[in-house]
Amino acid sequence: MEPRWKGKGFADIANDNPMSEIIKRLQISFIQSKEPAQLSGCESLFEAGLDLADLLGRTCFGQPITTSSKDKQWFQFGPEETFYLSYILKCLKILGEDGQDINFENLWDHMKLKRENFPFLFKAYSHLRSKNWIVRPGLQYGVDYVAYRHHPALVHSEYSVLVVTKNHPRLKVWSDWQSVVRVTGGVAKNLLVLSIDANHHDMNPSLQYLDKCTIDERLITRWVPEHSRAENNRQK
Amino acid sequence: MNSWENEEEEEQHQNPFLNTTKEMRFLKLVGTKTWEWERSWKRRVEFGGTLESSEMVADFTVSLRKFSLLVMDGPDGKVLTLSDIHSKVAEKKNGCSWEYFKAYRRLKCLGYIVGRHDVAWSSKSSSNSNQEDGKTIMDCFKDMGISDDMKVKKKLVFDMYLPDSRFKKTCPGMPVFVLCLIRGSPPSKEEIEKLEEESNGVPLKLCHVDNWLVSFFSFDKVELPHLP
Repeated sequence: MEPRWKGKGFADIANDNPMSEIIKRLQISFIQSKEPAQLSGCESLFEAGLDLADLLGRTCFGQPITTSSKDKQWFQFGPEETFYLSYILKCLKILGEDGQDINFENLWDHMKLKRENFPFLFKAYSHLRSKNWIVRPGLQYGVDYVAYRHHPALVHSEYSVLVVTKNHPRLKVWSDWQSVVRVTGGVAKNLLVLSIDANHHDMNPSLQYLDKCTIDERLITRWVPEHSRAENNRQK
Repeated sequence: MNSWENEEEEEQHQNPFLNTTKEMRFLKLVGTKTWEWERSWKRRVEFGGTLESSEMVADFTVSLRKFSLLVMDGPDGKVLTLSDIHSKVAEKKNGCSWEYFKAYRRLKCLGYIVGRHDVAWSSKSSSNSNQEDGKTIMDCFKDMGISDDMKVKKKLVFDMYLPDSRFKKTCPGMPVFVLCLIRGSPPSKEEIEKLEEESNGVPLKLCHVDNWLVSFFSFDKVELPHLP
């Protein structure tokens, strides 16, 4: 499936603004701001200056929260975003619910308690983000994430993403396959299944263990022989 | 919506509120073949054309739906009903099932060339009628290589070729994909990987049959690009 750009010239805009470069500027801006994010449940709240807010918008991290402030913007980061900004990009300090600094291990344990299947969801999120795909929640499509090749204002998402492990198998019955594939196709996306190769005995993996797990990418598509034959006839 | 989209998307219903007469279609009688069914029954099937035995057996199932007349006689001259035939095939204890036929029929009707997986084309067909006399219908199914061990839940069954008037059984080439019939629950990643090993590099498609719905899926390995 080819990328579906939302406007004329948007592919060129994306080309001229590689996501990897914007993320580097985001990291620098975070470090310069020195502001921490405050943990709240499995999410975190962050108050950004206007430049940092602009970069967060361009890289699609967090959900902006409208307030009356004109020179600051509040953002709410999801659990995967919080941990990614803190542990992978190493640019965001997190304060625990007690207002004190929280280290990676404690933050990891905290997130595992608060969000079911967090380790594997984070592994999948991090896998796609590290390839510079924009990753957003996908619950409205019956999946874990949707993945965009650039900013959602420029291009439609190409993939609905499901995260699978032996401990957390999905698509266990045929009605699951049919419904997810149909919904995905109905919104013009491909269903991407990310299988994480984790030991099935380990339901509570450590960060170090998870770093070593590999991810297998598979596309599940419905094949319609009638369409395929029509396409074949057109090519002849 | 195109007719084939209708075929694929929805269960088809005749409209009972409209007064239409059902068109009867009859097979042109040009020849007969005889099979034994469970050795104690004899059936005479009347058909048209010069089909090879394996194709005759498959088209036999097509004709059950498309043609309103298929004359089958028992040893006592009793004409068998569709229900009699259906129950014999659906019994499954003789090594065949409607699932195979439904998948086969869907693809064959579209012109795809369907071969038995891992069986050379030269052993599939026999136009020698003397060899077929006395064969049970289940022997014919088994000759097609679609004998069905009901304990096997995931099985490579058909080698598929695109419709091609130049297709030669003596030199079929590589199939475009191998069809795997899945029974029971959907396959795990590990089961799919095992099936992929068995297909020797030919792309795999999965088929699941549930009532009237024949569904096909691909489960292809990909690698998303690292974006700039």
